[in-house]
Amino acid sequence: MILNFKKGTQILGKKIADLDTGEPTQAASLQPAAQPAALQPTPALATSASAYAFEAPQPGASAPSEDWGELLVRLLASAPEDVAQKLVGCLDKEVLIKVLERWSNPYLKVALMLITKT
Amino acid sequence: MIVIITSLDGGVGKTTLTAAMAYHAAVNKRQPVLLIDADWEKAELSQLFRAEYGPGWLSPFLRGEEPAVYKIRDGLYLVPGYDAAEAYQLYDFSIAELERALETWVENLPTFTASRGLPPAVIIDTTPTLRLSFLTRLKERGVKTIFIADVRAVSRVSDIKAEQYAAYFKLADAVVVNNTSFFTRNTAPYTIRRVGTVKDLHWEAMAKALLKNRHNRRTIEALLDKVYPTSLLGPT
Repeated sequence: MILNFKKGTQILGKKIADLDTGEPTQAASLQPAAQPAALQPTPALATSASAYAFEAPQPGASAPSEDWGELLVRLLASAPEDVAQKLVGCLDKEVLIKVLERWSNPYLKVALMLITKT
Repeated sequence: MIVIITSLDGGVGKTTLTAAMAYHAAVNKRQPVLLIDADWEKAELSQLFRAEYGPGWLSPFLRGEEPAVYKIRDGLYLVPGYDAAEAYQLYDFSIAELERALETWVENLPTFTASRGLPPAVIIDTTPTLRLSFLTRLKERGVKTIFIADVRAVSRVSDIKAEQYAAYFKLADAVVVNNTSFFTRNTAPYTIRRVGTVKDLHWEAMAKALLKNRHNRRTIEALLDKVYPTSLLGPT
């Protein structure tokens, strides 16, 4: 048995366009018939680059999925604390409150009540 | 960002550490992770995760097949290693060939994960005593190495052993010492303390048991912070 590095590299290096238009990959046909519900092979062809994200990152379902407000909140949440603090300091408080108000999360509601109270 | 879990001796806790890191990242921190079971001797990670038998990480090279990627739970995926473990027993592969296949994975992982909608944060569980030359090549490709050892790493068994450990320590981004005794627990930067016997040999039970210990939880947390800057772990 010889390992086929050319073929292996070709399969692993498939890009999104190749996967969408290329031949169906064999993984799909090799999936066991009776999989436990919690352990399913993922679809061989990806749908989007964010498919791995958690299904319900926020309890509020009413907020737009990927607008500037959400991106801003994500940026602030993932930035180092000192950077986030500086950025928050530069932003208009009202703008931030408006962004947060769009999420129907009970914890956020209480936090907003506290912020707006002071 | 790719992390490889490696060791000099077998049975020191590579797979358990992998499971605990994966659990803490995906469940406690909600940071998605892809695991690759590249332990071609045993494929124990695949068994702990109860992955179905099927094409794994070596299949693209063995049979030209797309590897299966199992969704363990939200934010946690596994490429199993049954095919490699089986091939290791059946065929006359040289270690260099298996190393080359794994290196090809590392090289192509950014494309592989991006095109299949998988997390960019990857943890690779491996077989013990990977060659230093191979680990050096991976390091040059930006792979972070977590080296795990037991008490043998801190108690001088022999000069040869001490030299071997020193060489691996030098390469590692983080060194974890497992099952440390009272006297040695503070000699390594990252230590894992012994926890009670886990009845159910399932990844989740083992990870939970390990993380229940506050010291261990802090160690795992620190390791994740060390190898994965938050911004690289994707959406939280």
